[in-house]
Amino acid sequence: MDYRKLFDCSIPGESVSAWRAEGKKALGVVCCHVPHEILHAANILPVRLRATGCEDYAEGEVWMSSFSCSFAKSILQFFIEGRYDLDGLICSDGCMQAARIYDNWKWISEKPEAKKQFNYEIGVPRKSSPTTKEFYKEELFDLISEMEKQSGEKVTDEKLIESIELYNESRRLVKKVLELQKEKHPVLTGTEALSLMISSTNMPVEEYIELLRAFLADVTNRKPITDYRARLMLIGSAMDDPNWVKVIEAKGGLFVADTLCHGTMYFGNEMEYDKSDIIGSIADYYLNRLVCPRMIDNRDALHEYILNTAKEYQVDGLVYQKMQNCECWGGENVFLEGELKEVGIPLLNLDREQKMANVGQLEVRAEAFVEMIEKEG
Amino acid sequence: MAYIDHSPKVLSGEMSTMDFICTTIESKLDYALEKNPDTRWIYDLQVATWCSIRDAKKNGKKVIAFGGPVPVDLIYAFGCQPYYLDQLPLSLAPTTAVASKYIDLCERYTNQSMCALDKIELGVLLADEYGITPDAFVYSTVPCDSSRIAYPNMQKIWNVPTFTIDTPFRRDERGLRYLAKQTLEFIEFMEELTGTKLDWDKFKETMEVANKTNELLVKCADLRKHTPCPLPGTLCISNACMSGQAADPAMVDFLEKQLETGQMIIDMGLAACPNGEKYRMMFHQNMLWTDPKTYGYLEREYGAVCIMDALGHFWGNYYENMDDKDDCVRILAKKMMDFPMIHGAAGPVDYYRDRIKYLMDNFNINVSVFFGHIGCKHTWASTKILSEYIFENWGIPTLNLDVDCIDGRYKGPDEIRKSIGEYLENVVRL
Ligand code: SF4
Ligand code: SF4
Repeated sequence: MDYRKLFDCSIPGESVSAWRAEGKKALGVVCCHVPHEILHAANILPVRLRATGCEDYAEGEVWMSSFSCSFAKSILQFFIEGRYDLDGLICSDGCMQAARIYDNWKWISEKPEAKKQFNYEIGVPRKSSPTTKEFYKEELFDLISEMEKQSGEKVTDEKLIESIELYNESRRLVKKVLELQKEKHPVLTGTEALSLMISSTNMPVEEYIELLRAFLADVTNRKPITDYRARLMLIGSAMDDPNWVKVIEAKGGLFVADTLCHGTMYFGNEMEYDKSDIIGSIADYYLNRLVCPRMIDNRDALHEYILNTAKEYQVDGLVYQKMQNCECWGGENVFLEGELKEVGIPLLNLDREQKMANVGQLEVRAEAFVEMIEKEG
Repeated sequence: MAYIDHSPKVLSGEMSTMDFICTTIESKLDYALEKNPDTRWIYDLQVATWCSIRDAKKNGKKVIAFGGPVPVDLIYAFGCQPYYLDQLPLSLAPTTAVASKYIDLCERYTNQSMCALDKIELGVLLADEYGITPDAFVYSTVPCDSSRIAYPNMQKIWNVPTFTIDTPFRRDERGLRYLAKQTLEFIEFMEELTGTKLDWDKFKETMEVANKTNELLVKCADLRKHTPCPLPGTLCISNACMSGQAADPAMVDFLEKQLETGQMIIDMGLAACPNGEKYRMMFHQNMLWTDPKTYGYLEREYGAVCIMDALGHFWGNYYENMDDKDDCVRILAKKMMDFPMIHGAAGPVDYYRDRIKYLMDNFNINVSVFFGHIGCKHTWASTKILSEYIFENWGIPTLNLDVDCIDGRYKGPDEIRKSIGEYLENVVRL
């Protein structure tokens, strides 16, 4: 099977169009807290929205201003341009700028001249406790009935378990791929690894699983990478553009690990479930999965995860990229910088925009960093 | 007594921010008493609020620092002293050099784009210059992404007992139940912290005060519906934080005086604009804490008064059945939902629109200004919706003006005044 689709980091629409051609619905999803398992169980395709390759978000900016994050603006831009071929949008209040994608798109798409579409939003708590879990469960029950209305199919516990198992299988397979990055000479660049994870956003999970299996079956034929100068780990804001990673890798770095919400963190661990409380299990999973600092009570765990992963993957340096105006990922250095210093892991802070700007400057900084940690290593 | 500028001492780290604010407002009060005793009520409240925080421990009270919407009335009922953290940046903002010190320090660790309110709150702690360590810290998951980054870091640095409240995204019945449940958990937290059970009679006293101040705040806001507006724009600034401390008895005198003054001005046929009122402006975002004098300037020079700001405006919530615990807890939850800055900005834009609709329908507004604090990115991301909404429904265009309400270095008062003035004269042209 040709698994090259896993490395296509554009936003290919064929799988989504093929799905919709069968008369089934596909909904855009912003951020990581709308459980895909629920949409899947309703026979709806969740399409995690991204903005890879958006070079001009002028219209998005008209709506969201120059003070907003360009990732969010670019997604809105793609919606305005009709770049996505979808039946609607489901948003969670991941961060407050991502949430405004919903507000703006709802306003625009409800104008009399616009094509009507489905817009829905769920509230997701920002801390994990028995009380917040109960709240989130209620939101999920509402989501289920909305999805049932959309697809006309009943979401049963059996269907949810089937969906969980499928997503768990994709999580297991991605983990296997990521394990390969621990090797002294990995067979995947960071650019390829990120592309492989990002490609999951545009296809049914079943197709993704098949492609991953084909890739893993063929992995021994890949040539190990021996010519890198430093092993890197990538953390920070929404990063859905492997080309940005490529610029740094071209300077001799090799990304072997990440804590990106479009990367490793999106897949997380497998979901454990209690057959007598499937929705409770889904709520637990999404409230406790480490994804980003939107939760107020996960900061220590997130830092611990970063440090442990850096050690496990024998990282020489950490790249912390922050999208301009992204507050969600803006405050980790209050403690993280010191924590990394303690264990002797150098840190490179980089600001960026969604579109590839200042590539020359990025190259210079990447080169200097690689050189510095290479010497230290 | 001459006004003494203590900023060099706070800049050198010799004086804490608490002492700086207290001595500054005390000397402002002394100055007012000497020069214009009629204005003392404005300073009395500030002195009472700040000094009661500074002296709380001396008076045997625990200090509870809080950020965002939390059930503050209960803090009073437990005999503790709340410290509303946003008061700190608002009080430091007019002294640009001092505010900058903490903003710059915070930016060494965080994004420059973070809201300057949060930068100051975290920056002062990084400098260890609060001058007080709270006995507990309570915060909620809103108002915004900035505060959600600042507060957990502050929690870690303070390392005192902490309680957090998750504010629901939508303000519906489910959200109300959710906040009520967390309020009950907060009562348990306070009981453990203070070692005493909640004394319902004491809470009733607190509820009475809160009802009174809420009623006065609403009446003061309603006075502004009068054309011409009797109260100056600067009072919107001072009233904005009040619902957060509504159970403080010191508020009652201040608000009664404000109401009385406003009524007197109406009775005398006077107005906030000394040369006649032309423009009735709604500011639908923050206020200019760096330079409150701008409001007086606009009133004098252009006959333009800030009638109301959409983030500071609030609807009163009253305790009705004070013996019914469930009902009181629901009111506490409702108050959190309607907390200024949260009610409109921190959820789906529909609530923001509702707030604006109320102001547009009731305050005889003829100028709309999105006075946009640059740190408040989620509100900026709703500007076009709001502008279209206002234009479609009331035919009024909106001026979107970027300012930093806390960091005076971003844009000076002259530039701000000029932008508004030009807009009034060239676009609104009444
Ligand atoms: S990059 Fe940051 S600001 Fe933008 S949507 Fe993601 S978390 Fe929000
Ligand atoms: S002004 Fe805006 S960004 Fe700043 S604390 Fe308030 S809501 Fe947050």
